[in-house]
Amino acid sequence: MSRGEPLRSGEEALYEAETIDRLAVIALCQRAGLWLEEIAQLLTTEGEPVSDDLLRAKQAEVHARIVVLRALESGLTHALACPSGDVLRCGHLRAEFDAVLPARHKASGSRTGLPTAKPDPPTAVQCLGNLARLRRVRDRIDRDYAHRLDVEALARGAHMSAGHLSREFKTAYGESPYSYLMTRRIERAMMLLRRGDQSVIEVCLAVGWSSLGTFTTRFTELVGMSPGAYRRQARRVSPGIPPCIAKQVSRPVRNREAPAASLLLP
Amino acid sequence: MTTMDLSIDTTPLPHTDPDASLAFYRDVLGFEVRKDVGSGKMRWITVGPPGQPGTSILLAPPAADPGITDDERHTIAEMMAKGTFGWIMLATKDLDGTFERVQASGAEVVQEPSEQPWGERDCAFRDPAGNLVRIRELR
Repeated sequence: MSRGEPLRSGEEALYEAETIDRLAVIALCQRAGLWLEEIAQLLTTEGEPVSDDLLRAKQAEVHARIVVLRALESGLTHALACPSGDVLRCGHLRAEFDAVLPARHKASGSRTGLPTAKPDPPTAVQCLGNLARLRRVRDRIDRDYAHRLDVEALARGAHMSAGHLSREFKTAYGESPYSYLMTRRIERAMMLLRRGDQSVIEVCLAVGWSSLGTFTTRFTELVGMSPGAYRRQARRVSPGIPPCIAKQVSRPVRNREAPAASLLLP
Repeated sequence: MTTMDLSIDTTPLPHTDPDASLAFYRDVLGFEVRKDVGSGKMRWITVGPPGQPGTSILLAPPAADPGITDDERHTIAEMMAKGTFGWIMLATKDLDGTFERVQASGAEVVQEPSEQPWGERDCAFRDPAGNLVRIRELR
């Protein structure tokens, strides 16, 4: 489209979207583009004296357009932040527009020309979309557990700031990404120590720590005894339980204080 | 003790998008479609590997039971999105080949083929609904 240049990249990004309302979104962008042109025209003077009243009227119209454009920008940001394939993200866009469209536009119906489908409640939609993004972050941490954690990179991949990711992750999974990773590594270390064929330092390196001191501190903090003591005390888990379940039920729980006595979970 | 004549027949796995889940199990995992009833979200699709005709996975809507409250429905939807709800374990003789093919299809990888401390090798993916699909190697 030839109008509304600043919105072009937004429109193109949304054109790739696999949503059934793609065309509706493009229509919204085109409408915003038209408004931009009208604003430009409103602000162009032809050298003639302009009365204060006219200026005030133009100012009010410009203000009204800007409010709507801000809503569009906010909706687009939301839409771009949602994972691909989320068909409900256009509900955000429509909801934003419906919320700020001046009453007279709604009443006249002449300016909108927008699809009249009911906007989806943003909170419910955002919740599930966000949770799926967080799930992918958690899966990434699980997959790369032995590597150094890079929250910035994970956050970039999830289209969030690092701080926002940490907060959302903690709300969803009960611990921050870093804490989750540490717990995961300790859990794996417990399994390796139970197996008994590797030394403590070998286990430390195998699960991703380079410092024996840090490993020992974290392990003791979570498990309640040192890795060496745990290894000495270890016995095999009950053979009847599928190993992946045994690993899961013996996972150390971060929010509870580890009892000082031995911690041999079934 | 009386001997029972029972076999494992069907196990359910929830879907959020029946077409996407069907495509995963049929086209990526190579399962055959044994039954497909319903329409829209209310679809029940029975799938299973060709070599195992007596045992199936039923891809079903997560909370169709009318006894489930709206709050519970929402909790289930959240858990599915978080990936903490449904899971299943499959097995194969060729773990690495299977992993390559599933990864190539663009499925979400949770764990690459690795040796577990208990001596088994396995890998893990997510299906389109967020269920964890663990695949272990038969030796």
